Amino acid sequence: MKDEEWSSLATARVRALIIAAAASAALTALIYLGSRRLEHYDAALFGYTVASVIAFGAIIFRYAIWLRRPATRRYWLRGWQLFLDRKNLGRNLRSIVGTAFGNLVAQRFILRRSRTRWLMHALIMWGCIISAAITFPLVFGWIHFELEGARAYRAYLFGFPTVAVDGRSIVGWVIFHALDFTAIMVIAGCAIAIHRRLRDRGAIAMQQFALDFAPHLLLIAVSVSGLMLTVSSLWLGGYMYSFIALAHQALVIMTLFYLPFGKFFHIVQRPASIGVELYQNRGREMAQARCARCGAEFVAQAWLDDLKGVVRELGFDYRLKSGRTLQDYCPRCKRVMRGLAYAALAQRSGHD
Amino acid sequence: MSKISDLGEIIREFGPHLHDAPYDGWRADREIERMVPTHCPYCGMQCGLYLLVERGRVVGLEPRYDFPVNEGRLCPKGVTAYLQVHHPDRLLHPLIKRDGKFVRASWDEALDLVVARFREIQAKHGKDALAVYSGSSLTTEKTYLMGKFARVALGTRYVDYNGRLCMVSAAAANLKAFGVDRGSANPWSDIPLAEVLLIAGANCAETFPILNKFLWQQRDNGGRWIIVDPRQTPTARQGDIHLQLKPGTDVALANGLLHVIIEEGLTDDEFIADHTVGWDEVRSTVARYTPQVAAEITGVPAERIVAAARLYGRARTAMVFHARGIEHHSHGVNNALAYINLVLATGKIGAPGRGYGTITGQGNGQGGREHGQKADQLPGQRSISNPEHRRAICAVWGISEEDLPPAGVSVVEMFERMRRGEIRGLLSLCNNVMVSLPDTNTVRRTLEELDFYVCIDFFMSESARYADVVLPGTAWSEDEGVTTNGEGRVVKINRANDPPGEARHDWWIICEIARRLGRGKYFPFQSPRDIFEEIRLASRGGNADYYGMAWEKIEQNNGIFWPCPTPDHPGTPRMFEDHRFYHPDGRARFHAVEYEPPAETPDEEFPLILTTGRVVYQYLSGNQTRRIKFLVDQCPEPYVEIHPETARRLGIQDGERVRVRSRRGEGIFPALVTETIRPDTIFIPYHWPEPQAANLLTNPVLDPVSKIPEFKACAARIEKLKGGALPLYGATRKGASQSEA
Amino acid sequence: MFIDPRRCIGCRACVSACRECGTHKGHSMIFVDYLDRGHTTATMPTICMHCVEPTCALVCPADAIKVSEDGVVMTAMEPRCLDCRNCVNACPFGVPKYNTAMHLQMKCDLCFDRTAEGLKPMCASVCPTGALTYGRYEEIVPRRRGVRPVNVHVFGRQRVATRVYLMLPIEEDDLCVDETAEPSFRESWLDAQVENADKRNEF
Repeated sequence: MKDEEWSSLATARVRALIIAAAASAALTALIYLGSRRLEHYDAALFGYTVASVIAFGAIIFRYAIWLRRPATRRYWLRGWQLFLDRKNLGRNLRSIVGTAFGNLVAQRFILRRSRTRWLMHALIMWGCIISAAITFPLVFGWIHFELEGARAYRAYLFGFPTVAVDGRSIVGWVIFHALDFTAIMVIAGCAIAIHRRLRDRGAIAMQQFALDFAPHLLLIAVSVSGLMLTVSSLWLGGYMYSFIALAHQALVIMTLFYLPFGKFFHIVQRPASIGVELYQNRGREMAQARCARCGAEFVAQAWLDDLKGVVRELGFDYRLKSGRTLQDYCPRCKRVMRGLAYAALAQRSGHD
Repeated sequence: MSKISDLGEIIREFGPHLHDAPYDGWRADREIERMVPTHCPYCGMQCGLYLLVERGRVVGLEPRYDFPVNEGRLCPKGVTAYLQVHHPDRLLHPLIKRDGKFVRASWDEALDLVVARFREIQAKHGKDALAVYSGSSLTTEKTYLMGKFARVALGTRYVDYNGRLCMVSAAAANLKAFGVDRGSANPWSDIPLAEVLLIAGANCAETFPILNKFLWQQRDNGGRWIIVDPRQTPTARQGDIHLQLKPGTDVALANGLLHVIIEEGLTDDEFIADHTVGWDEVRSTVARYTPQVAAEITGVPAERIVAAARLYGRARTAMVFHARGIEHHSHGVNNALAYINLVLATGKIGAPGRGYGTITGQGNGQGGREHGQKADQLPGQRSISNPEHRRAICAVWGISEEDLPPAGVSVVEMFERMRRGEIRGLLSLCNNVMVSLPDTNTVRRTLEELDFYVCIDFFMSESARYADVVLPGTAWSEDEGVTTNGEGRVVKINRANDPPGEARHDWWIICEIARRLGRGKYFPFQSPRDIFEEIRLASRGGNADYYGMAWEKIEQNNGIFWPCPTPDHPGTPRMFEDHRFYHPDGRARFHAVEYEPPAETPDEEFPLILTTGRVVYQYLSGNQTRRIKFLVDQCPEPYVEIHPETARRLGIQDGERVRVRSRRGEGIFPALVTETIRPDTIFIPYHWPEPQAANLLTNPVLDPVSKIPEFKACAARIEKLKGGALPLYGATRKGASQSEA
Repeated sequence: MFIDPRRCIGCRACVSACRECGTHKGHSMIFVDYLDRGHTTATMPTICMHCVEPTCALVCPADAIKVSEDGVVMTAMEPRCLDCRNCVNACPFGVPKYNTAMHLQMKCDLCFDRTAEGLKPMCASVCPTGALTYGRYEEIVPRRRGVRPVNVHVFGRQRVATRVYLMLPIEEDDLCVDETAEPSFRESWLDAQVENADKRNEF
C-alpha cells in the first residue's frame, strides 16, 4: 500500500473510532437517564452493562468502516437520497414497510431457499430478538418491576408506570418465563443449523469451526446456562445459582463481543437490503441502460453509472478504445465479446 | 375406427411432461447408500457412470473416472439420464384400450388379453400374421429374447429391430467386405495413434460427443482430420479439411479420393495382392472419377479432394470412420463400401492407428444386431438362411429345424405388409415408429388399421398411444445385463433401483407371454443371467462369439471385446491383426461401386435437398429425452437450417416460421438462417413427433441390400407462410433487427 | 483449471453437470454462448476465471464474496448477500448469476466440495473434448499441442490476472478484449431466444 492509502485508512479508522466512542458515550448517557440516574439500576448487572456499551461501540466502529467501502457508501447515500426524495416520500414509506416486512420479518427470501432453513433462522432470530428486547432494558435499568399488592407486578418503563400483571396468572407466568421459551427456541434453531452443517456437502467442505460452529455453540451455551438458572431457582433451591449466573454472564459477554465479527454481523448488516431494494424498485422506473452491443435493456442507467463510479473508485479502469466502459455491455455480450476476441486470435493462427 | 378418442387426454395423463429434478428435489444433504457402476442408456459409446442411490431411489450421478472409454466424461444426455428413472410420466400399470381410451388393468387381465388376441389372429390368418418389432437400446439379453420369442413362441418369420434405421447399411457393407460385422474394427484407443482421421457423415460433436475425447487426443498428438459433411458441424469446423459435399454423393467423393490415391501411387500393392479380391474392377471404375468429375457431382472443389486424398494416402497411420450421414441412403451400402475401398487400397487396417470403423448410434446397436432379432439373422451373427447356422441354433433352442421360420423382412417392408393386411398384429418393444420411421402419415394409418397392437415401454411414446395394450416395462437402471458398444466392447449394465409401481422387467413380460402361449419350456429364464448363459451357448462358434465371457469377467476388465471364444480368451480389441478376414479364403473384398443419385433429386417443384439428423440434446425418437426439461430447454423444437443465400432468395428471415413441404407431407418449422449449411441443402433434426416430425417429409425408399430408408436426402421446398408472417422470435430483444443488415 | 474454447463442441454437458455438484442444488453456473450461430457453430464456454483481484468481490457492498486460501473466488455468503447485482454487472467476464427471490448470488466455485475431496469439478469431469480441464499446470500443458496457456486478460485499459488459464491458439501473452468502433452485432434467434437459464444471468 502507498503512504497516502495508509494515511487515509488511518484517518478513516480514527474517524470510525471517534464515532464509535461517541455512540458508546451516548448509550451510557441513555442508561444513566433511562434508569432515573441509576435509581433503578441493578449494580449486579454492571458487567453486562459494560460489555454492552463496549460491544455497541465495536459494532458502530465496524459499521462505520463497512460504510467506507465504495460500493456500500454509494448504496447508503443513494438509499437515503431516494428515500428522502420529497415527491415520493409516501410511496417510499409504503415500499420500505413492505420490503422490511418481507425481508426482515417474514424473510421470504430464506423461505425460498429452503423451508427448514427458514424455520431454523426464524427460531434463532426471534429467540434472540425477544431475549434482547427483554434483557437489555432490564440491564440498562430502563424497565423495572415493582410489587403492587399481594401478587401484582407493575412494569415501569424509563421510570414511568405501565401495565400491572398478576404474577400468578398465565400471562404473568409466560412473561416471567419468556426467557426460558426464547432459550428453547434458540436451542432448537441451533440444533437444526448444526444438523444441517453436519450433512450438507457444501457446508461440510467449507465450514470453519471458529466461524460457523462457534456462534451456534455460543448461542446454545448461553441458552442452556440461562435455562439452568431457572432450574436452579425453581427446583434445586438455588443450588450453584451464583456460579451458573457467573457462567451465563461470561457467555453472554463473549457473544456480545462476537457480534461485530463473522456470522453475527449480518444482524446489523441485513437491514441495508431495504435500501438496496428501494433502489432497485425505483430503478425499474428510471431510464434503462441498453447494452452497447445487443441493445437489450439490462439495468437502470443511474444504477449502472453508480456501479461504474464504484469500479473506477476501486482503481479499475475498464475503459475501451471506443470510449465505452466494459460495464456498458450486458453480461452475455461481455462473454460473447471475449469469445469473438478469442476467435479473432484463432483466425490469425490459421485455424477456424 | 380411430384408435384414439381423445389425444389431449392421453397427453395430459402420460405426457410428455417436462420434469427437471431428482426424485425429491435438489438437495445437498443426501446420504448416498450405494454408487452403482453402470453405463449411460443412450448412444453407442456406452459411457461409464455411477448412479447414486438413496433409500432405493436413483437421485444423482457421479462420473466414473476409471472406465477407460470415457474416463468420467459425459454428454448432457448422459448427465441427465437418471432423471428419467423417477419421472412422473413413468407408466406404472398395464393399460388396455377401451373405446379409444386407456383403462388401468391388472397384469393377468392384460396378458390374457394379449395371448387371446395373438391366438385368435394366428388361428385366423396364420402364424406369420403377427410381427415383432424390437429395438437396440435394450440389453443384449433382451434383444436375444425378442428374436427367440418371435421365432419360437410366436413362430412368426416377421421380426425386426430398429437398428434397421441405424446400422444396417454399415453392417451389410462390413459383411460384404470383411465377412464379419463389427462396428469398429479397431478399439477407439487406436484413434490417438492415427496421423489422419477421415470421418464421413458423422456429426461426432452432437451424436457421439465422447468420441471427441479420442479425436482431440489424436489432435494433441499432432493428428489431422478430414471431415465429410454437407453441414459445417462443430466437428467439421474443428477439422483440417472439410469436404462439404452434396448429400448422397459419397460414392463419387470416395471414388474421387481413391482415384487420386492411385494416381499418386499411394496404394499398398502388397496388401492388395496378398489379402484382397476384386481390385482390378475397382481400379477401372474409379479411373473415371477424376477429381474434376467428383467435384462436379459432389460440389466439393477438386483441389480439396486432391488435398484430402494426399493427406490420407500419405499418412503412415490413418483411420476411416463413417456414420448415418453416408448410410441413411438408398445407396447406403455402396457408400460404405466406397470408403472401405479406400481402407483396403491403402492397407490401413488391422494395426495400431490403422483401421476402420462405423460409429454405432444406439446404445446396444452392436449387441442388438448380432443375436437374432434382425429379420435375417440368428444369434452369434449367424444367417437364418444358412442351413448349418439354422441347425446350430435349433440345437441350442431345442426345436426342430422345420419349426424355425425363414427370414423375415425389414421393418419398413413389415409395415407395408401390415398395410396390405398380411400382418395383422404387432408386438413392439423399445421403439417409436411415429417418430423414427420415414413417412409418418403412412405409419400412422398403418398403426390405426392393425387388428391388435401391444406395446411394451416405460413411457407412453407417440406410437404407444395407438396400442391396444400398453405394458409398463423398465428403465435401464432397473435391470441388468450386457450391451456391446460401438467398438465391440461388451459392458455390464447394473441394477440400481426397483421398477416403480407395477412395472415389470421386459424379459419377464416376454417370458410370461410365452408361458401363457404354452411355450414356457423354451423360456425358463428366471433372471437376465440365465438368458446370458444361453447367449454364450448360442453365439459359440459364430462370428460374434460371446462364449468365453462371464459377467464378472466383463466387469473386472472394464468390458471384453468379442470375439471371445474361450473362457481364458482375453477378447479381441483389434480385428484383422493377421490380415486374415472372415471370408472363407481369408481375403477382404473390394466392391466396385458407381455413383447413383438419391432416389429423389431436386427439381423445379421441390428444388432443395432435405437432410435430417440429430441435435446433441435429444436421443433418437426422443421418447426418453423430450421429457427432461433441461434438454428440452436447450432445443425446444425442431428447426430448419437454411443458407442465407437461399433464405434471401425466398425472402425468409432468421427465426421466421416457414412451411417445409415434400411429396409426402409438410411441417412448419422456425428457420435457422446460417452459413453452416450448403445453399442447395436444408436440414431438420428428427427427434420430434407430428406436427413437427422431420419424417413427415422423408422418403421411405430403401437401400436394396440393407433396407435402410433414405433419411438423408429427399427433395423438398420451403414456403413462406401467408399473412406476412413476422419472425416469431426476435421481437423481445431490442436491436435484433440489426442482424438482418 | 484450463479453458480451450477451440475444443468446445457446444454440447453443454458442463452446463448440465454443474447442476449435479452437491452444493449447486440444480443451478448451473456455466455459460456456453454461441458467437453467432448464423455464421458458425463456434461456442464460448465461460466459467469463473477466479481473478487474483476479483472485481466482483471488491464491488460487493456487503463484503460477501470471499476468496478461499486456494484462490477460489467463492459464491457470495448467503447471510450477507443483498442481491444488489453489483457483482453481476461489474464482472468483466459476465459470470455471476443472481436470484432476486432468494436474495442469492451464485457463481462458479470450482465445485469446492468436490475439490476438497480430491475430485475434479463437475464441468471438467464431463467435458468431452477437454475444452474445460482441471489439473496441475505441469500435467496439462505439456500434453497440449499448439496452444499457449495465459492467465491475463486485458479489457480496454484494465489488465486482469486470473487463476484459471485460457489456452490461446497463438503466441500471445494475454487476450485483449476491446472495441474500437461501434460494435457489430449479429446473432441468431437460436441463441438469443431460447429462454433457458444458462444463457441468462438470472436463475
